[in-house]
Amino acid sequence: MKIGDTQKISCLQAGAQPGDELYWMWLCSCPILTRNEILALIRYFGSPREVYEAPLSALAPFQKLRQKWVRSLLSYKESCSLEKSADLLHQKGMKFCHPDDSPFPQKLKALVDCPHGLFYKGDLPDPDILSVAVIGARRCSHYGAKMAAYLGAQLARYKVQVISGMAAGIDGMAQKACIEEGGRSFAVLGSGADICYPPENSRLYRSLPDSGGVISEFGPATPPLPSHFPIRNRLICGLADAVIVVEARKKSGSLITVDLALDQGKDVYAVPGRFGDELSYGCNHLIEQGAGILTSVEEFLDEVCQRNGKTYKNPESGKLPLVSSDDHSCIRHPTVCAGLTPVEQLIFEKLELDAKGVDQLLEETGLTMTQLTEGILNLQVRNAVQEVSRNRYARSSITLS
Amino acid sequence: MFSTVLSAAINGMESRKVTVEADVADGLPTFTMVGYLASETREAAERVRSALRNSGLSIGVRHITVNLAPAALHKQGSSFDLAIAIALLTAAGTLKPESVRGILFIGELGLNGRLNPVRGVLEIVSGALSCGCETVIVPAANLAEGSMIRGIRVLGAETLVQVVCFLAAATDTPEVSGMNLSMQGALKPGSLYERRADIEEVRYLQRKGQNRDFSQIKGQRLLRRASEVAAAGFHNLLMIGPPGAGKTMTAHCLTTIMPEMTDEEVLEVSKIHSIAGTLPSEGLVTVRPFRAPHHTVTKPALCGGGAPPGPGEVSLAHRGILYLDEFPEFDKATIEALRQPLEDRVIRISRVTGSYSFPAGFMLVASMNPCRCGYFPDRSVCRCSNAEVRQYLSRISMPLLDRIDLCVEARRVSFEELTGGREEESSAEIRERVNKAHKRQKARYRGSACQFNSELSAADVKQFCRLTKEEERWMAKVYDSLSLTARSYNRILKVARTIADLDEEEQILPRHLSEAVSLRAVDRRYWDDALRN
Repeated sequence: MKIGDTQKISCLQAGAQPGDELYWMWLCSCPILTRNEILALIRYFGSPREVYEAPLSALAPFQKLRQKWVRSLLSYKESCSLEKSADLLHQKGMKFCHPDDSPFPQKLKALVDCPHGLFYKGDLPDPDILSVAVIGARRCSHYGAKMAAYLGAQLARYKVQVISGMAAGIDGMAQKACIEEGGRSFAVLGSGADICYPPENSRLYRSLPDSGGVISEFGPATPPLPSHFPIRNRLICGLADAVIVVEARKKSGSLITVDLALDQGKDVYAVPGRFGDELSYGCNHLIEQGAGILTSVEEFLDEVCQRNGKTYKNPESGKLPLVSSDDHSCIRHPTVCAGLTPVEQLIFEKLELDAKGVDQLLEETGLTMTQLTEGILNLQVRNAVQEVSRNRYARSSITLS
Repeated sequence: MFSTVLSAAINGMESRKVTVEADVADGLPTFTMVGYLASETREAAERVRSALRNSGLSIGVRHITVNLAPAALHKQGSSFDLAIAIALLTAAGTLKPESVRGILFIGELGLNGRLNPVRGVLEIVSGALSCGCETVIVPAANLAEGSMIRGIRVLGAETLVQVVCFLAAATDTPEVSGMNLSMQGALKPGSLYERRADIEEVRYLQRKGQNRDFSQIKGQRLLRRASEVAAAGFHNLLMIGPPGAGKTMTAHCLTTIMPEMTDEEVLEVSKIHSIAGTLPSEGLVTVRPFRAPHHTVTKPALCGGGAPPGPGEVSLAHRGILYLDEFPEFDKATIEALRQPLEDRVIRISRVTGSYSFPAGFMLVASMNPCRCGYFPDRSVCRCSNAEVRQYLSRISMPLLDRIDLCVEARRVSFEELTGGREEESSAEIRERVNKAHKRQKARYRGSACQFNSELSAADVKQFCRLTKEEERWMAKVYDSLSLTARSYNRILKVARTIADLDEEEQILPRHLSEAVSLRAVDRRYWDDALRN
């Protein structure tokens, strides 16, 4: 952290007066205005209260810049009063907190580019409980999706908070699984906290405030612009104690998050993938560069807790069994195998988390078409197998209970 | 003098008798044609005049009027030329009126007096039979198809002179217009071509000409099986897979495993092709048609149209396969028009001039890529966003998907499979099983409206696809765990019926049901599942 920035922040904090929070909320709600521009305004006017109370003419020096945000600020000043923006926030069930307020996450205050405030629905992460960010590709493989779901559920069982971006693919899968398992999860959005993006995660979005929170530094109704996502990524790793990357391509947004996490001094773990697997290239590359290898959730939690001086709770029930991909996995999972016919067992053994086509399965099992389809359908009814896409099948989850 | 000669016109799918009346009188030398004629029909005047002159059959400088009755029927095409020429010769006194009685003339004339082939001869000949004609004279090139109709004499002629000689000889007219007929060299009077029809011979020739066979498709066991089921129950089929997976090849081969058409079916199909002008030179279509219109096809070209309407691709594919490659690329409005013929197996085209119906009992085979780049759901290659995949799929109409019973994934074949030594089953072997399944269906549905399992209505499904209590309980579980819909459940039963027929079982067993489930048709939800991952 640069010294200059620290001074700036502390000087702002010194000038804070009671009720200032409301003015901060008003300023942060202004559309288009970014962090740096707010900083420039504060440097010029001294406090958000003065920005609010200043006549339009006082903005003349800024007007010379002829920039979009100045025009936006002018019309915002004219049209939106302090009360109005507070009402709006209340209507949408959102809350706001400024770095001076007590609920504001301590971890974020340490950031060079700490946001001027956070809008959120639900809660903010509990600072005393371990938080882990699970991130990865939006267009992920079936394996990646199931891995993310497994991690989300496992972390939930250990009462670890899962932080992510609610994006399609890995992010959403991990958060969904975490909530389904009764855990707490927090989404940091690249849009206003009142906007659900991507829309396909609307169910997750609706359930998040009750089992965690939806957080954004952008004001209400801010659209999800592409430029917002790299900015919000710093908050995802900023709120977490450690970051897990599940699947990432060579050039992936997740790797930007990883760079930010390393800058912030956070631990980075990668889920190893196969050599030559394009979707795992990023993860394998991270491991090559010295990232932690995630092979077991317990070991991961032990390591992270040791470093952060935190503890995690052991789940009430026993550990979830991890299915290894060797041929004897069935023997170790009597719950799945009970009642399976030899044909179904054979099919289940040949199936993996990566989807296989019917032709390939016919080849590997040596069964006839009728035997194979009958076996697969029975496994599907038992929910052990999933048809990932037309005539391509995979195991439905990593954990089998 | 006045004369009448018989001819015929094609109107939609039907032949209509047309009487050609000619009046040759003294007066100003004109050639007037009346009777609601299209321009190519009106041009017959020039063709006939030149053809007569160049055949040495001048009728002199006279005032000529030709009428094609009934005058209310719009006539088009060039098939009246021969009849007009004969009518003129009769009116001019060159031929005796009794020589043309009971004979129907069809053919287009070249300026040198040659007879050129025309469309629709098969239908015209069968029409002539039903309205009591004894003889039909057609261009020699149309003799093959014309002679397929039994019970009527069909004669083929190469030139106008040949026809005139034949008619003159029949009524013993030694001299025609100063031309000594016996002087016409090789053309002996009365020597028109005649031919014995032999459907079997055509079948043999055309089967030999087929160069596609299922043994050429390597690997792809799923696709092969789906094709077999589709052929056995006449189910519509959708193939989804990346480019180069062999979808088009499979569709082509599908005709080779369908049962052979019966003689009636051959005639029915040949009539359509005869009218459309797509009949092969053998005169009949004995192998099931395979039509693969490009995705830029227009609605009239697909469904039939024009003025008056002619058959479109759906009718040309009657009793065969209509293959739509790159299914989502087709114009939505064009594709929607397929819904009615898929349901009714006939397409009705209504125009101001009348309503026409064409047979359209085709099997729809469609193929598509799973997304724009073609590799979804292989996310290591496919870079399409979820929204893009959805958008690509949303181009297909849901009501049309509802009419497709089978859906399979086609995948890329590995090099080993392509070159590996495994002998694949030939079309003949598969067809044997398909034939058996057809026989079972025919026996089961005797006396009812449907012929194949794919045509069963919801009520029929209840009657013919009955499950035992135990199977019903099991299907209930499947229904829930795969979240099927009522519609897709019905289609699964129909396909299971076909699979059981292939298996020669009267009762549908769990193994039939499970195979039907794996081949089940897609619905919107299926793609959502794939995208939700």
